[in-house]
Amino acid sequence: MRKILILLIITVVFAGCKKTLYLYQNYSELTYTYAKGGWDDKEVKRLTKQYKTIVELPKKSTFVPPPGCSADYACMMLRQGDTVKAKEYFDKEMLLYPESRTYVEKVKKDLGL
Amino acid sequence: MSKRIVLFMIIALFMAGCNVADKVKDKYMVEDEVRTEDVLAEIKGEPKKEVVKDTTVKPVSKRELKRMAKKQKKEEKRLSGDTLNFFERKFPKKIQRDSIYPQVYKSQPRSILIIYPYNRSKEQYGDRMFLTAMTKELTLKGYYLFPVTAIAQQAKQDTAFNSRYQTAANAKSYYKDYGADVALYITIYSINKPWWSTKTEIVADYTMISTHTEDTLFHRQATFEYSSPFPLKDKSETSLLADNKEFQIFEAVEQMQHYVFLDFPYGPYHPEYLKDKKKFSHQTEMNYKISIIPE
Repeated sequence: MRKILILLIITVVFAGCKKTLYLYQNYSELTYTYAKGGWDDKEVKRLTKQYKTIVELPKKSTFVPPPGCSADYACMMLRQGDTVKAKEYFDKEMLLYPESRTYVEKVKKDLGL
Repeated sequence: MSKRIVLFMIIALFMAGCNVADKVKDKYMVEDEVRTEDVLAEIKGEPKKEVVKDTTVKPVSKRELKRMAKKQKKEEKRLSGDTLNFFERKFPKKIQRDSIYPQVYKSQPRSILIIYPYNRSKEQYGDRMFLTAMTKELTLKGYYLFPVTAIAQQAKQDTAFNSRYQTAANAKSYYKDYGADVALYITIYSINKPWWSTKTEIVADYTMISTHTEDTLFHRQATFEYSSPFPLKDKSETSLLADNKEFQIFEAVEQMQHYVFLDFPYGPYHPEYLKDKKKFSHQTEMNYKISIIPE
């Protein structure tokens, strides 16, 4: 009886643990706020700093950054004039999501990266 | 002690009397109709009509009559096929995804490009809210979505990059320029959030076009009602949104995307990819209203 009860509890606990695909944190608010535009350099820097937590996950983490986020971060870096980091994150996007290859290569070519 | 017994007896007698009186009344009181006929016959000098009582028919009480009528109504409903009443009318019938989205399963798209939403509502930033919320929802469905800031930037530079001007005929060019398998067009008709109400109403139209075949893979026109719990939730101190109203609308927009794409097949990055063919689906083209009162 006791074993059945323990087994039941474990089953319920595991049924409740639904693994999400990505760790978004405050992605929606951050992206929306950035997309609204009209920010000065100081504000952009602040938003970029927050965005970094979505793109750069801890090394032990099994998650990957959500689709498009690395490219978004690269665009933010580009706005701050950091072309090296921008290129790095564009490449990261291509590596993680091969579907982005056509688009990213076009952007890189247009920007001369 | 004796007082109590007397009191009890009085009550018992009274109750019994009521019952007896009813029985006597039922037995000897002449029916209204019969009595009128008797009086008329007496005035006219005609002989009284003999009332023949049918002893085989039992008189039915009003309560019983009501019960019988209810039973009959129920039986009629059952025979007409209306078995679940309220629920069956409110929700659409269960349909499987592979019969509604056969082209999605056949073409197996991997990436979706959101064409900048056409905002016809009075909400200034409604388009950007949709863009962000949809990107999140569809990536969670397992698809690759193109970067939001890049799309917003593109729309800023080129005003023609908008669902208002882009048609299905342009869809093929998106495969060439972006490598997208599907182009998603959105028109936002209205976003209403009156200050006195907890309800947010949003009306929008979604169309997904394949960039390879130009076929319509998905079409929805949705009227979404979102009732926030009272008192309304305010934005947190760390929130980046401008005010409480913006926060409440943004929440409703996010919820709407979740319900609109609820039955859309999973994409290649989802563990359930191609395993959801027999799951629930709405119809491809439909107008629907969802009222949600979150706990």
